[in-house]
Amino acid sequence: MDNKWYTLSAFVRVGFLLYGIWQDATMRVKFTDVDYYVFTDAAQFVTEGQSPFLRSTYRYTPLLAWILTPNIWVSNVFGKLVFIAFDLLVGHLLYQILHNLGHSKSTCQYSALMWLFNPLCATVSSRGNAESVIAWLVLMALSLLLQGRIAASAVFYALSVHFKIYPVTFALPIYLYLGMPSEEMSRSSHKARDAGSQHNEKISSRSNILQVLLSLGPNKKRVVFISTAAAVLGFLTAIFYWMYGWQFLFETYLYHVVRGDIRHNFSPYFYLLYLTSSPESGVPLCLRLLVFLPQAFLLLALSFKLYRHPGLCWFLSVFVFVAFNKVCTSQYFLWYLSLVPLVIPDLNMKLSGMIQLVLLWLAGQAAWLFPAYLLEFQGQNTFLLLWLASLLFLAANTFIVHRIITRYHPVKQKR
Amino acid sequence: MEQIITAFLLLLPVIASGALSKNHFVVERKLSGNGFHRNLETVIHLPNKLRAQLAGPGCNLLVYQTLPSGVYADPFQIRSLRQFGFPEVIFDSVVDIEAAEYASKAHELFMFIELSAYKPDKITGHLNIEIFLPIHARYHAPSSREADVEPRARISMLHPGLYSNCSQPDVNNFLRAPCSSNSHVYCNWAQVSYICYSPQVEMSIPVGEERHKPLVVTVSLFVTAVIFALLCKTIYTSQIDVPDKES
Repeated sequence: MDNKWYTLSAFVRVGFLLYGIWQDATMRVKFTDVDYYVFTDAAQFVTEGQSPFLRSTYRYTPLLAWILTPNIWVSNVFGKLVFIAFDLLVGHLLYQILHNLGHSKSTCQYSALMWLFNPLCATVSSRGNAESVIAWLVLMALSLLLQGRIAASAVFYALSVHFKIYPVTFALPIYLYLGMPSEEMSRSSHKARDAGSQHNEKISSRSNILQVLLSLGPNKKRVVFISTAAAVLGFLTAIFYWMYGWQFLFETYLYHVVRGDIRHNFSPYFYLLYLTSSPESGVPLCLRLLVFLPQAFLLLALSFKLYRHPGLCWFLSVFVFVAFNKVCTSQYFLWYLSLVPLVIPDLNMKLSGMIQLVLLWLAGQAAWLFPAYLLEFQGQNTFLLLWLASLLFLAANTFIVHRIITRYHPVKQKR
Repeated sequence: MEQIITAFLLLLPVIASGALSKNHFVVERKLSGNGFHRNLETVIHLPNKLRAQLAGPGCNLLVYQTLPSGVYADPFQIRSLRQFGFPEVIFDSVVDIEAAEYASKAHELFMFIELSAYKPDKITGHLNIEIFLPIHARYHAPSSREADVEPRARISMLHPGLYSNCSQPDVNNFLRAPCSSNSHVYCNWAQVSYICYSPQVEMSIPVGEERHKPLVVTVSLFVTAVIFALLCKTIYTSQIDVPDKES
């Protein structure tokens, strides 16, 4: 892709960064993300030879605090520049993945630009949010997996899980994908699909599932992937456990699993959990199960049905995971935004149709944000409205998933 | 005549404050903002007469504020306000900014006011010290009172304690507290009495309603179940792996 686009998007981000320095110095409301102060404080502890977990609400890998120690030694914009660099790398990687899948140059470029000039992504990294690093790790894992470089993919996959626990939702799709025969695997890329003839592909979805059930056992690729990922993840976990103890395990991994925040959030379950959470024993077990089951089952269903299309499957998995999660904040939306550009080129949908979906997604958030603002900043009792809005948002998200699944046609590719 | 007496009685505090404030600290308290995020404003007037005694070189004030379990001050936010002239603060305990009210305890703040940093008023010679302490309400347990429409939780904040490290001879109330924000040594801080006409500051925040529980649990589970079923159908019937007939 033309270098001018990278340069321009880098300028946009550095512009935001400079503006942020000005706003932080003059206004009480900070441009910089709250988490960035957390990272920097944690890096401070690290430079003093102490545990980054001494900073309350530091719930990330110690690697991040280590990477950001120049925030203390050199300048506190260092971390933001790192995040911006990863942000640009994500754009480039999106281009490469789509290119390797056999999409036309212009399609690849448009998709990459969709990331590079998305105002949301640009502000997120220049505000000092680390999501771009995780997005890059996830995309690296995907890219290498599609190229058949399984061990390398496993390394990046393990790193991404180590950074943020959510990529575990890709574990099953990856496992299933690695069970596909090699020639079929490469056929999931369009180049091969176009070249190869499309005989013997008339398989009904029912026999599909049966086949899958029969082919669940380990094979060489699966063993390579699992052992590499386990080794990397195990090594990182062991070394940090040895250095920082139980607190590392709890804050980096377990907290995200057991997190039971009763404060208002986008989750359709938030008011339910708030009302049923008792000060002594928390939420009753049966309810916790009822909340967890749909999410778990949908992830299973998506994995088994769509594992042949890793880009789509990963996107939908994390999208559904976030939509049905018991805690859902806008930061979680970033987890799937970096996968959107991989899906869009294969959607058999007009531009206006896509814009409608985006607007629906934004409208769902706006319908929630308004009562949330009234509650949080005006002190009005809007719990019921907020709850209805969270259900509406789930419905909107479901409609989006439905549209994407029904309009996904990777074969019908226009060149 | 009655009206004059009433007027006099009403004005009495004002008149008295004029008379007393020459010899006493006067503290004003206010809570600004709505919702969960507020500013607890404390204005301390240090009269000219006391300034010589209590605001000499090396003299500091210690403002001791208890925050009840329903609210918290965020230590890291407060540290970031240093550049805007916010005093140095020590917290008596670690603050969990995510915990609900029922899982939290009250905490105490020691705010160190460096008097030399404040300039006296040009006309009166008084020192006016303003502290805008940002506080945040915690989520409270839902209300179970049937009668309440849109129930709220009330949180009231005690007036602060005021202490000086330049002791006055007639004081015998002392507080053992750190000598300064970056010191582990404890000092005796002498209590300073003050006059405060502001009522105790109070805030209220909305809480969930227990009587919504049956509705919310049923409808949430029903809606998510329906949506779940629809998604399952979409996934199961998807034609993604079935090749197009025309190709």
